[in-house]
Amino acid sequence: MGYVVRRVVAVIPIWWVVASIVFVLVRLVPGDPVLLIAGTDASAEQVREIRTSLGLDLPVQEQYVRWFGRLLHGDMGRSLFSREPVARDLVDRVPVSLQLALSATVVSVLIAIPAGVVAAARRSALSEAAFAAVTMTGVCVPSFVMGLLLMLVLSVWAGLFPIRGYEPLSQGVVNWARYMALPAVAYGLIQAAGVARMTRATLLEVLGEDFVRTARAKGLAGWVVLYKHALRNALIPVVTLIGLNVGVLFTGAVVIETLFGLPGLGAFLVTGILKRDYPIVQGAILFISTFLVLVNLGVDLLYRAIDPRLRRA
Amino acid sequence: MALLIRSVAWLSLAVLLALPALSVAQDAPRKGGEIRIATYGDPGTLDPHITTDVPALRIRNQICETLITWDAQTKEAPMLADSWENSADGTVWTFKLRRGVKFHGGQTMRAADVKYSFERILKVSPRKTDYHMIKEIRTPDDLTVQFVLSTRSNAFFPALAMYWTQVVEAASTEKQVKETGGVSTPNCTGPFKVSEYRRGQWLKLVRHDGYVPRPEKPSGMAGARVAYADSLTFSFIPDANVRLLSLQQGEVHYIERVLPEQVEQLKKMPGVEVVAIPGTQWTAIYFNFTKGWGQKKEFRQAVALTLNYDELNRAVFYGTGKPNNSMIPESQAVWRTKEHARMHPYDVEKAKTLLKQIGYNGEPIDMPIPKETVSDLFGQSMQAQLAKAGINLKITYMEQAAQLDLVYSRRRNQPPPWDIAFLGGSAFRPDPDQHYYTRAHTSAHVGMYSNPAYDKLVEDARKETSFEKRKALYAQAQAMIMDEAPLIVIGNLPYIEAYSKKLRGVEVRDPHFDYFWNVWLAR
Repeated sequence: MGYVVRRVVAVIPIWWVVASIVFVLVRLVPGDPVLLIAGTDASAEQVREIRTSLGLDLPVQEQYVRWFGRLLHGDMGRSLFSREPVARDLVDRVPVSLQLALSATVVSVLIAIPAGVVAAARRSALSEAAFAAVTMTGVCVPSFVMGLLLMLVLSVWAGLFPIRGYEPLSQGVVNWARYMALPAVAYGLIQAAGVARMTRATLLEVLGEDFVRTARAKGLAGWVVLYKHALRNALIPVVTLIGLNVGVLFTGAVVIETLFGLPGLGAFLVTGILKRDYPIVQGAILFISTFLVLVNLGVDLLYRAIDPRLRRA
Repeated sequence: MALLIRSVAWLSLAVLLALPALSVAQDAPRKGGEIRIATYGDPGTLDPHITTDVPALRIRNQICETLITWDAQTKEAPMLADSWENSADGTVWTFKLRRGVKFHGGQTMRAADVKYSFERILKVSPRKTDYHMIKEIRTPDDLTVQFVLSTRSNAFFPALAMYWTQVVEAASTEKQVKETGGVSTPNCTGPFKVSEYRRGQWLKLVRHDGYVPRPEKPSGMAGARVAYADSLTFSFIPDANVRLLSLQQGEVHYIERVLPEQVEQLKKMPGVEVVAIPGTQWTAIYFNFTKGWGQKKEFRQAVALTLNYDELNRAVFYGTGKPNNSMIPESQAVWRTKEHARMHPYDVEKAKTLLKQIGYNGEPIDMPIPKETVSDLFGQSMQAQLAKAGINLKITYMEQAAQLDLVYSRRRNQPPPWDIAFLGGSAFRPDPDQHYYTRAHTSAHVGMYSNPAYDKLVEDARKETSFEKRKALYAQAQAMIMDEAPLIVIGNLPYIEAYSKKLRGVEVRDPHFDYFWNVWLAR
């Protein structure tokens, strides 16, 4: 318990450092939001007016103090363009990205771990070649190609799923799943390839170790050795990879979100960056970094559950 | 027998005569249904006074209205105002409002609402400085609004047709602003009103039942607006391929921003109409007058002579744009003269001679461009064309916002660091002043071009009140731009949109003027 508290408290300085770095970096990047708001034919007077009204004419340190002060009160500011509160958009969009990340992870784990285990347990030249071919394809195909392909085959030709869009869970699980299925599969398949390769590799390594031979020599059934002894030991690096994937899936879904019209965080952040919408970029990155820190914490706790030796360390 | 033949003949004739009538009956406007439109961008906010960007105004034009608007020739026409007059000294504009106009909330429009809207624009609009000449807004009675200007201005009247001056109901708007800090549901007067807005996903508009169309025939944005559809749903689909698939599957009826390379594919789809029109936005290159070869007129002319505008249009837009060296597009016919139709001739030999005269010897000419498809195609095509005259164009790729920042370095009081600046698209502006003054006057040219004779021309045009005299002055300004070439306008960007043949009454227009009233779903 003390460990968890220590880890959570450690989040606070990380969070502050990230917030400050983001604040500075987004202003160091060339590009001026005022120019984008005013349009290219705006007069110098117009540009000045807009800069003042957005508070962007103040010295950077003063902008920082103001922003941080408001942040401590839970106010993330408003978009420079739409003047809508950033916090409201985050509250709307984070659950969508989270649902996509988790569904894709479930898809990838359901496919990857059995596939990896089978590939490691039943080795033949043919199955090895097939496994390598399929997973390499998964690793190499960009997500937008996979997405467009699924959309074309399953939506446009077969008419099984809606092409794009999103329905919240509150509208019913079935309805939600109809919209979430294609993006989750498109995204999950690609992640599955890496996880399957990792499962197979580590499992093969573990299967070669002495304790496995001992277990077999004791006369344990093949599946008990495989699942209870070998797989459990092989899972540590796989869980790390899945944990990292959740973070990447959560924040990097720009292409899939844009393609399938999911109102998530990725597309929101990218538009914010392209438009130099400082409050949006700051708010979203702050949120993402907090989330990543928490996922890392979760993975560490999961290690301790899987491997009892770590609990004593 | 004869009787039989005669009756068959009569019957055939009757059927033949009835056929066109039947098809007319099928095509006759009908009410009902939901028109689904795939648009590329989420407006972000529906507040009519905060944003000026195209995705927002495409949707807002269906919901809100301005005092005056543009007809098909881009001439000002009545909308919320029935008539207007300007005082002899030009400083007082009096508008008579249309009687009985209802807001979406049921309130009747009064002069006070107009006054409130303009006062809010003067406070919060990014374009508020366009209206700084307004000294006072008077409301002598409920149907009369008077704008008292600090000085006579040609810019004032046309600026009242711009989308960011849409009129909102005063009391309910003020309440929303007080409670939420902005306007999330605009209470306007347009033929459609907001029903539901799912941010990042879609927006649904429904017919405003209290709307009474103007009595005039429809022409452009002007005249009668009839909401035939029960509802309009705008889905925000940023990816052009997904928009195309959505149309193909029948999920939407209308898609915006078709890519030039998708046109052929769409033409082959049964039941789909694809229309390309040259829009009002133009692409141009600017020269740097603070350093390098751009300072020499011969060099600029050589570039103008070596560029093949027709070929650029084919290479970048598959021929769907419009080669044009004038700042006024063809669609803005009221301001065009012979001078605006003139193009730079294509003459590589003459260009070579000019370059020889000034001793240019293949030194690199730096042009930063944004890393995106259209700019890239332009950049590479121009590079290949200019090489024919021995001009060594060097392209530097940058992210879009950073490139814009570099092009407009004079806004940061820094001299332009580039040799040639590429600007991918200018916005639609109704008055030539907004092009000739804001693009090439000493105070504004991005490459610091300064020519007192040109300045005097556009300053005089700004003050002149006679339309014909202004038109003549802008023709002279255009001639000077062609000769001096401080910038070279390359052509107008196309607008390509596609829609299901079930939609009737559609006219594809520049997105600044597009609308879905007077459009219906056939049976």
